[in-house]
Amino acid sequence: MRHVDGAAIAANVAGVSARTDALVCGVVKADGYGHGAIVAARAMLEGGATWLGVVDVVEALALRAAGIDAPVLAWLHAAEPDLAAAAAAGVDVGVSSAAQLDRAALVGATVHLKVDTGLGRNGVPMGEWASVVERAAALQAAGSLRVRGVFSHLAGAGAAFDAAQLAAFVDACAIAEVLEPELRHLSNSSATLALPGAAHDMVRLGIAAYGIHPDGDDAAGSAAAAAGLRPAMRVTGAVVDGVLDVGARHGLLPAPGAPVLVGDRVVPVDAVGSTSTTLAEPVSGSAVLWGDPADGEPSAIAWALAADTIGYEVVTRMAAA
Amino acid sequence: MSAQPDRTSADAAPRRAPRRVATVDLAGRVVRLAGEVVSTKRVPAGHGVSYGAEHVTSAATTLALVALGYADGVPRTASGAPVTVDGVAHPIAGRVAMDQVVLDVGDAAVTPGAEAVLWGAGGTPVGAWGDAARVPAALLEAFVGPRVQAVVEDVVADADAMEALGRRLAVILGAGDVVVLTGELGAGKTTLTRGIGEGLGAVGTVASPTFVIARTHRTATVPLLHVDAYRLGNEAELDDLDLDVDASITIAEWGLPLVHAVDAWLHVEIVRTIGGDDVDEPRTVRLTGHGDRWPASRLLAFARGAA
Repeated sequence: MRHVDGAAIAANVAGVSARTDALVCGVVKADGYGHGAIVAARAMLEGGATWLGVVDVVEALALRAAGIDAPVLAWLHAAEPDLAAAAAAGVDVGVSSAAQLDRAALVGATVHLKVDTGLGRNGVPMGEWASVVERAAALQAAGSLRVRGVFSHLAGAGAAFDAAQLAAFVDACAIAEVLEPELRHLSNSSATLALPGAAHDMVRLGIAAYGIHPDGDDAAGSAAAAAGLRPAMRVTGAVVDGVLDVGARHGLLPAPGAPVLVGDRVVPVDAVGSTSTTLAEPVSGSAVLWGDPADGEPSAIAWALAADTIGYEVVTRMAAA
Repeated sequence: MSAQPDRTSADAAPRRAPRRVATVDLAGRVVRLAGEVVSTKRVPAGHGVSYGAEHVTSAATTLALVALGYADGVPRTASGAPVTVDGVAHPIAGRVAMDQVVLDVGDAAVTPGAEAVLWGAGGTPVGAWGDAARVPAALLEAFVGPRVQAVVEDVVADADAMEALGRRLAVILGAGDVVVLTGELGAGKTTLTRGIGEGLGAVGTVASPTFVIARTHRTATVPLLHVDAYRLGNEAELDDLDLDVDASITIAEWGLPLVHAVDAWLHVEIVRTIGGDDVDEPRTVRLTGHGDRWPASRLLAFARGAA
């Protein structure tokens, strides 16, 4: 069973906000990284985020339907995107190509132009950036759209790669100066914690807001604690004779060897099945699969390491399926 | 095997979210996972791809972005697993992200909007895909996330099986649900409805309503409203009937013209697998949910429910 502590999310965002002059965009895509998008969005706003980030317009409209009227940015669209609903709901859209720019102009959208500084996913390639900016300036001058932001995303491929991406972003912002964008944003959780000089006008906070340090090997939670972050998700179950009533269909990744707290004992996972999980010993009692290591509970990262992945995937899989 | 073509007009319309579709059989297995190429771009040699830049382009190439990530059912261990576009399998380049994967397609003429198949018809068989993704194939179905649209599709062997499917459907239906049945004459729409009626404990024989337009059956719980929309001209006529859809379970044969009058509906399409009128020939049934009442989780719960 998934328990989500909204107060922890709010406190994590507040803690990070206090250490940066930039605005905070709380990222609640993929059902709030598996925590529940609405709960997470409200907590982020309470903690001082003034923007919310999602992947697609459907996710953005779900926030609006829940009565959340804070600024929202959605940045990954269908090949044939319907941006009209976003514009009507006051949702800003990320734009990654000249074609998307023209789509956005048709519906009078407010856009954040995305530049690819090295990640190779969406974003306008650097070689096309100047011409897309020129096109955006013409559309903005004609009143067809508004460019509110310029942004990019880091690959997390080491300090040298970060520096090259940051330099490319600074160049891209200089070219985009003509658009007079109000928000330039590059930093994710990792850069927000480690590269304060990359923050620009806004940081996008995802995994750190949920209390998980972006470093993949923080199983003991010490890096998170040092950064003032507290995990917001706790997953519990019941064990009878070594069989835990939580399985892959509830969101568990196969993680043989992952520690499970049963009563006051830590028992390793033997095998994750479809609807239940077998532990290595025939114990019984109430179980914590992951929670707050500060309380002696295993961490989501411990589960991730046993599953050969990262904490992000472990918590995201707990989305209401 | 061939890719399944888009079959509803909605698939061709502009979308508020990238296409993400899981095909689920009546045993609850996710037999196919597909998305779309949402964008392509040319990049030079030496360009990093995805987190950690673990893939670097070896020549000028086209990168195709597919909006399916580990939140959607692509395990993060699936880096390198095949994604089939236009009949060509391309390995996932670099790391799987939460919402997307990238394909390095070289000089292939991949067009945005092209279907991208991970496993199942038109792509890689599920067992081989699970091996490539380093996940037991039997657990892949558990990975499909809530942003993915679920389509239940399977072959129903004969009329008895169609009635049994109706009894199974009855278990998940409640007041306010609208089920739209389509399929040519004799496809088995009334047989399916009879099964639903049995499952609900409906009073009276459920028969083809062609000559009555609508008939209400009392049941143990919620009334079953059986509508034949074949001769209904438009939604105004539906309003004229003054049916209490909110308090009933509505089964509408030929009901597509009615969907503009409701917020949500389950569409059951029945297609003869073999020609001919014999009710005991196999049929292909396809269930799609439309509107807030029919999230993927509800269809998955149905498909995973006991047969």
